[in-house]
Amino acid sequence: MVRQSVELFQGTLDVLILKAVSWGPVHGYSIARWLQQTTDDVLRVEEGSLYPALHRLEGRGLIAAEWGLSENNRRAKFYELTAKGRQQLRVEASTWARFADAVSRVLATGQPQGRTA
Amino acid sequence: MTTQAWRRYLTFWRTDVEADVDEELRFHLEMREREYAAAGRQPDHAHAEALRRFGSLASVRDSCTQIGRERERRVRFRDFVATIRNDVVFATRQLVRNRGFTLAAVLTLSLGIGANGLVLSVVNAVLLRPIPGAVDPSRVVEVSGTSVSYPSYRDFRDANPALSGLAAYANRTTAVSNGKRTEVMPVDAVTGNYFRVLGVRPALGRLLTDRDGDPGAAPVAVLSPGTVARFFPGEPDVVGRSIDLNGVPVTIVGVADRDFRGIHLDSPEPIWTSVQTWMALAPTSFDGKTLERRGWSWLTMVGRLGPGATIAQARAALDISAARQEAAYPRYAEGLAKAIASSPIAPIGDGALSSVAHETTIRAAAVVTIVVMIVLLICCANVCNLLLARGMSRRREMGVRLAIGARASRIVRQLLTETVVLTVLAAAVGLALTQAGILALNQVDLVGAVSTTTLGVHVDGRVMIYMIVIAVVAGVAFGLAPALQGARSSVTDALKDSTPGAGRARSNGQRLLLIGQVAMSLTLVIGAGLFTRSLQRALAINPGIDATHVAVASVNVGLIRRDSARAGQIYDAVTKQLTSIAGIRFAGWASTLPLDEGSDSYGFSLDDYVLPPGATSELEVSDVSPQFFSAFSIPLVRGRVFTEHDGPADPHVAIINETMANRYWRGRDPVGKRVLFGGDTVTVVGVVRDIKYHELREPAQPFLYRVLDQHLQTSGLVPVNLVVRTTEDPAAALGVMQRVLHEVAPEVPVYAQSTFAERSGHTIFAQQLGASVLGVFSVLAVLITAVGIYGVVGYGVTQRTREIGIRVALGARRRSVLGLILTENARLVAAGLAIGLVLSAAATRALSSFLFGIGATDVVTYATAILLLLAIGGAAALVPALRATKIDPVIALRTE
Repeated sequence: MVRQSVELFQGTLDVLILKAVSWGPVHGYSIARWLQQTTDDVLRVEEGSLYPALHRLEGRGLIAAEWGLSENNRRAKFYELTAKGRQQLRVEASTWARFADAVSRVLATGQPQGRTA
Repeated sequence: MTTQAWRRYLTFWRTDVEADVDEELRFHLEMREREYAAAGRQPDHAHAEALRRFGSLASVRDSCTQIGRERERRVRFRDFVATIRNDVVFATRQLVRNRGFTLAAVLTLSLGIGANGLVLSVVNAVLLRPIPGAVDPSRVVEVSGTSVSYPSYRDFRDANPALSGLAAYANRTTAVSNGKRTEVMPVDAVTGNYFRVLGVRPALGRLLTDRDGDPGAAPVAVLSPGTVARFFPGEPDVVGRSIDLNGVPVTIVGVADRDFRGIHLDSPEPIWTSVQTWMALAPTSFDGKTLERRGWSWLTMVGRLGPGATIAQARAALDISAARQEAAYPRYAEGLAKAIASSPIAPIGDGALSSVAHETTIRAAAVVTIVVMIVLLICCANVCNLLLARGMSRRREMGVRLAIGARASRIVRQLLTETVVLTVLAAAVGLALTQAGILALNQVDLVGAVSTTTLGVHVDGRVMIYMIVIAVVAGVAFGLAPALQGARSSVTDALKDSTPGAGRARSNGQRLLLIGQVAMSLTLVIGAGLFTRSLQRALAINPGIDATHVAVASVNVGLIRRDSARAGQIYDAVTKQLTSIAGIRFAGWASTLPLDEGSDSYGFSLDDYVLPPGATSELEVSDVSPQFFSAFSIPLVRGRVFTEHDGPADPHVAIINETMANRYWRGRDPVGKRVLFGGDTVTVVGVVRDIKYHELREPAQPFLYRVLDQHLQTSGLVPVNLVVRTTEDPAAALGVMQRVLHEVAPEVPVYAQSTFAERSGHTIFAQQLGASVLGVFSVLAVLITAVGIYGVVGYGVTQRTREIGIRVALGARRRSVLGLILTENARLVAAGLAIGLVLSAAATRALSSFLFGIGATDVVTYATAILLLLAIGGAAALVPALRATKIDPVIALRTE
């Protein structure tokens, strides 16, 4: 039960990260803060799990990493979306949208017609 | 501390994954802390809160590090492969561009590698290869040294849990005929499970099974492909056809797998038949009951170890069974337990050759392998010199590359790759040479039935891998020095194009290699010389007989018919007919010949002489016909030789040799004395001079001759040798002998016809082999060294063109230039010879057991070898030295 949720969660986290880096180079902390803000703290992730996900995506070639200077002149690793990653994001986003749509439609229906209880 | 140092080492070669991950995570935590601090929390509060929110720092760091490391590994591997590929492509291009150099290097190396491949193929077939055609022969063991009877074998078989199967066989000589062709060849009488135990497969038809041993089963046989080719040339489908064994027709039911040649590789391929069939066709009148006689021991056992079983376990079970049999059958099985306990039980793969042959063969193989390795080293030295010389012409290229930032290690790796590509190419050519060599060897018949075709010498996977490995190792070993030299090219020197310093360093390397080559060549030449002289000595040893006009042949009348009277008739008739033919002076018979590898000995005692305790009570005996002594020109010293009057009905007489006369009757006349054998007493009628009975180097031993006609029951029905002395070429007599034998006894097959010189060739086999092998390889080594000297001296002359030009311009005479070059060369050669002398003295000590009549430090050989190499060394240097004298100073000073 626990494992299932983690896996599902990892896939979701991946697509969130892809989106997060799609506007330009950001470092890991920015991503964490952005997720926190955008989801209104609803998606409370253990921040640590962000980094293995980032590195895995980098290994798959979906995001590219480079060391740079942060806004307060500290050395940090910045991530950016690659072309391959952009395509993946498009695909995943549409899949996710369809999935969410389907689930909400099921949840929104009333009692089905012509069926005895 | 050590982890830190390790990490620092790692960063030299690649990025430090752990440090990066640490830094990234630390950044995140600091930012979070700052945020909390800005919101008013206490610093350590903020720190703790940040950590808590982060989650498990350690596990995050671990998974990130792991991911990072894996990525690193993948990237590094890809890079590595790419660099190797680039290097190889570049190397190939360089080699193609310098075709002359490549050709010379490849040819030289391929000779060395090919020779090594050839030697290993032979050694592989002789010593290392397990029995071909059998499955996992290292698990099949033979109980050698003890024969058992068939019922006894069955007891052993049924009571041995350590063996998954126990079979037995007996090797017997048989007359085999298919109507058109008759041969005397070995037949293995085997138990039904023999092929199953060995795991041999049929190539045609089927192999023998237990059913072939059932009472009333038809007599059947299995042939090997070689036998099929000999008896049924061009008709490979022999299943169902019939072949005669000792005159009894037997049906062929199958042909064994191509590779299987029986389990003793030093005998010719046998025909296999069942133990029961053998009973029917054995020359004695055996019947089914004989097979079941417990006292009749004739089978050797061979079995397969069960999974996980050891030889010790099998032996233990055999011992138990033997003890039980001894207890149950005291009359027949007496001594069985002791015999089994003292029999060697060894895997058949190990004992492919008889154990005696094994020991000497191993030593011979070791010597030849070392010799051929030395040849390879000499070849490599030549190529190394070539590389060093070529390095000069690439100085500029290397210097520039280093100047613009190429890493020295990269250049070294690239140069090494070139050398290795070269050597691998040479290995490929060498492989072709090895194949050619094997084909050539197959035409040569080594001593006895052992030829390279019998042994199945061929290039298999093991040999190929060996050749590639030594090619790569040689490439790296000998390419390293030139590669390092190349990487040290100074760019300023390169651009200036004059390098007195670097040139000197290169020359030193070349000089050292040259000295090494000369030393090794000297060792080989001395080895060859020692063997050659030893061969001469061996040939000069007087074996006591005059073997120059003697031809021999063997017959085995007993195979066809156990009739001693008939045998005697045959022998007499043949003698009479042969001696009446012009050109044949004497014709005789003997059970063993001089210089024979076999012997017959019998327990004996003397009438008037008590043998001291501890002295041997066995005497070697040969049963001969009267003309034997004349045929071999063995001089009579006392008394008389045998005549026709010493017939079967006459008193039994004997002739002894001088050693026997002196040992037992010193100072007295042995004529008239009696010698008692088991059931027979002979009276001495004559004394002959000693001869060599088995080997040229044997000590004197007592020997006794009896009259063949008086012992036909025993000696007349086993293999007997016909001896013929001719006035001209003995080879011409062979046809006559065959004809007469066929006329007198057409049913008796004749075999082993040859001149006596050929038959006794085994006595000088080691010397012949040594002389020829070392002779060939030492010639090769000297040639390659000469080429090397030529090259190095020539290169030196080219390098010193300017210097020589200056000398000549300053008034030096041509002669002094010549002297300059030659003296320098002579110094090198002399240094090489000195080292070589020391090497030889040490190395040839190992050969002394093969040598004959001369010590390993034979002065004549050494002196000749030294002079020879001096002369060749001088001659090789002469051509470039003469070239040096023709240097025109004007041209020399103008060009570089």
